[in-house]
Amino acid sequence: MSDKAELALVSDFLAECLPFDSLDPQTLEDVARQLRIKYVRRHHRFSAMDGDGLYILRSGVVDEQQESGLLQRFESGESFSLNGHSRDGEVTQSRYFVAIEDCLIYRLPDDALRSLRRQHRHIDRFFHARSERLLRRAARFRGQPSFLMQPVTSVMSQQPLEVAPEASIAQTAQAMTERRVSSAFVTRDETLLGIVTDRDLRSRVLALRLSPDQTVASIMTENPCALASDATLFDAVLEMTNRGVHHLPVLGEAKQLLGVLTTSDVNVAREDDPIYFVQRVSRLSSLTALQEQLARLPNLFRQWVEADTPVTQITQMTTAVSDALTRRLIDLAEQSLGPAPCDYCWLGFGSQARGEQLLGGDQDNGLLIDNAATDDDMAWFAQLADFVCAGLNDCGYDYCPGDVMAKSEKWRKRAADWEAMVDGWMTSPSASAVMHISIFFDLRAIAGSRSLAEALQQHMLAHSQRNTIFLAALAENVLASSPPLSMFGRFLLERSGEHQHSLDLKKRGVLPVIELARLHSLANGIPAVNTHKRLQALARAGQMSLADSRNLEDAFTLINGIRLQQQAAQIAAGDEPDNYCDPRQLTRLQRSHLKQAFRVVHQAEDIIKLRYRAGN
Amino acid sequence: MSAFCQALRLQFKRYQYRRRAARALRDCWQLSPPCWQSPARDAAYLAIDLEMTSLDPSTGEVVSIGWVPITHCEIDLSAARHHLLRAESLVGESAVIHQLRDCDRVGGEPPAEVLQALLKAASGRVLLFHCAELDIAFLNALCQTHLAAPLLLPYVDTLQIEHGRRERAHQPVRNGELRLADCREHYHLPAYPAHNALSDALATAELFLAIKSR
Repeated sequence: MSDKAELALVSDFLAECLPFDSLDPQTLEDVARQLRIKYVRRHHRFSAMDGDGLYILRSGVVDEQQESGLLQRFESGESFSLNGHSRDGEVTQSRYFVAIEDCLIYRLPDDALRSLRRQHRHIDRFFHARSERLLRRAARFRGQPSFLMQPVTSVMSQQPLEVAPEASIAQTAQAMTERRVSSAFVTRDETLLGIVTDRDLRSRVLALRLSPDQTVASIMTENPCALASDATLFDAVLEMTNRGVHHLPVLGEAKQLLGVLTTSDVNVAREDDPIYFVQRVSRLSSLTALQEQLARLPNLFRQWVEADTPVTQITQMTTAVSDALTRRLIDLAEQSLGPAPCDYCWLGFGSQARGEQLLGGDQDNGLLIDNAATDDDMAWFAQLADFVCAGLNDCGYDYCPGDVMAKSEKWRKRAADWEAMVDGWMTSPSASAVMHISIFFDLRAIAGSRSLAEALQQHMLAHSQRNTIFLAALAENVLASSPPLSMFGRFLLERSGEHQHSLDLKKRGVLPVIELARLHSLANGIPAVNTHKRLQALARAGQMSLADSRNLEDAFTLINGIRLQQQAAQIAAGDEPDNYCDPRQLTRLQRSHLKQAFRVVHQAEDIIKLRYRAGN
Repeated sequence: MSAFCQALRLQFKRYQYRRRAARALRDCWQLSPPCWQSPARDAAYLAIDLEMTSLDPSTGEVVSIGWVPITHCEIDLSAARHHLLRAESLVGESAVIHQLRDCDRVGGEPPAEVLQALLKAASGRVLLFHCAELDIAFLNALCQTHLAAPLLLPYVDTLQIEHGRRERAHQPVRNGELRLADCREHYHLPAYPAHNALSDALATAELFLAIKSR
């Protein structure tokens, strides 16, 4: 007899690795069954002798190097191959791999990998990003909503070339050449009559020696297949493969021509797949290139929102982008400054740490440095921090107005000094200390030594849990940013300033939930940082009823969802995304949902008053 | 005990039991690798872990067995197995540790069948344990009941190896410091949830590879 998931230890890990994350549990278990495990000691240099197939790093760090230097670094969960399955298919003889730390490696042998690629198109796609047969594969692939579920209207080329049916073939061909397009649409009174493509000019005119003075109507394809404006990219790709066409007109409700979608538009859309986006960030080698890449993020974000990607996935993806950017900047800094003189950890605070980043956020970060660092070493880290923070700022993550950044000396310390500072905050919780704590307790290792960050987090948890004075101060802070509902259940709007008559969804909606979850987690020694995970852990630990925890999760998702939609709309309108929303612009359903979400938060706050507030 | 002494003792015992021992066990002895010296560099191993109802082989019972082979310095997950054994008595207190209740064990397999499968997997391999003494005692008792002789197969013990290594390096070893999880941490291996026979066998196998890489 055997359990269903005997190798859960292995398959659970695979489930968090690209591209295996998209496989179902049974397939994952099958993949786990085909793995070999090897241990590779630090400094070991890999060669083809070490075996074929795909190497998935379970733990440790491996560098891919070339005579000229470091090509890329692989960490736990990432995979590489000694013999060519690299994701863009380039095989360079002179590259080699070196273990930077002791590594535990899962090896998926070549034949197992091949059969997996045969059976799962998106896995194949992952290893063969630039294949020409992309379209056919994409059509069969439904795994990732972000790419194929977006509406065609966000991808199509607008203002297609329109010609009258009386126009001559020559005129049409000239117009196509001038506009540099490969198709023209024959219309009368905004009604689409037919389509003419480059191919038609070749096969129906030149090959038949037809006179170019004939009307375009005589050679057009009448009633071409078209897409409705609410069709998804998936529908489009399917239509293209089924009918063997490369151009699809997109029609509005009154059958008027809105735009055209071509195979190359589909290719461009694919480039915006979050995986490729993150991957490219981690490979670009200049600040300008990174800046250009990150400038594309708002539009990408908008596409994700429009494709109805779940809120938590979107925030996860935006966080993955900022993580990748931070790591890349650190790599670039190390390339010019030389390697780090001692162990360190780049910390992300706040929303980046929680994996809940949206657009338009500031950077909140710090540097945690090994106690062994000398004063000279500290100077190195100051340079590193300046470089990375400036890079983040250039790429759209503005300097933190409160100076919570590694480039400020206060947030760049040795481990012992961090602990002393935290202890200080907790013994005398002034208003600013409470604010610092609330930023600081949401902490995640972005790059460098994870264990340093974990030790610090353990220290904080151990000290905060029993500290009632501190918890009371924190509770006071939570109650200060109460959700904006009046006694009569109406929205309380900002009274003054630039955003008069609007709701601050972040401060009044999202933050209270985050702070609630944080307070309860600190009080109960729960190390999770992500708000959903905190709420789930609280329910599991019996510190919050399952119903309360789920309600808060729902409220959180809902408020964040409305926030996302607002931001997407702002981007579409060419405005800077922010967190304000005018309740009058919401649909009735959204308004009532939002009110309900606020009520859930209100109720949860009442519990806090009873439990943590001193003398109440 | 040196490899030579262990081998000598095994050979002698096998000789004692040569008539009584069941066929399957004798076949396994035949195929077991020569054990007069330390195993060859790329010898084949089988990492094994047992979960039992008590620490005393005379009263306790084996609840589950997990094993995973090492071939050419690689762990082969395709041959990893986890077997629940049918209860011969109640599980008792340690069920709390292993999270196996009596009702779970009703579906378990007859111990004799699991033993056959184990012998098949072990043939030609050196057995591998972390803290072998206890597991070997339970395996011997099981074999004694179902195959009429103790197991009598050569084995290595990661705890002993690590203990010896630290002594040679003049690092004092405190009591309980060489538990599986602690040893793994020393070699920068990831933390695993303990107390599942297969994951402990896997954890032991990985530890062994790490130790051997030094």
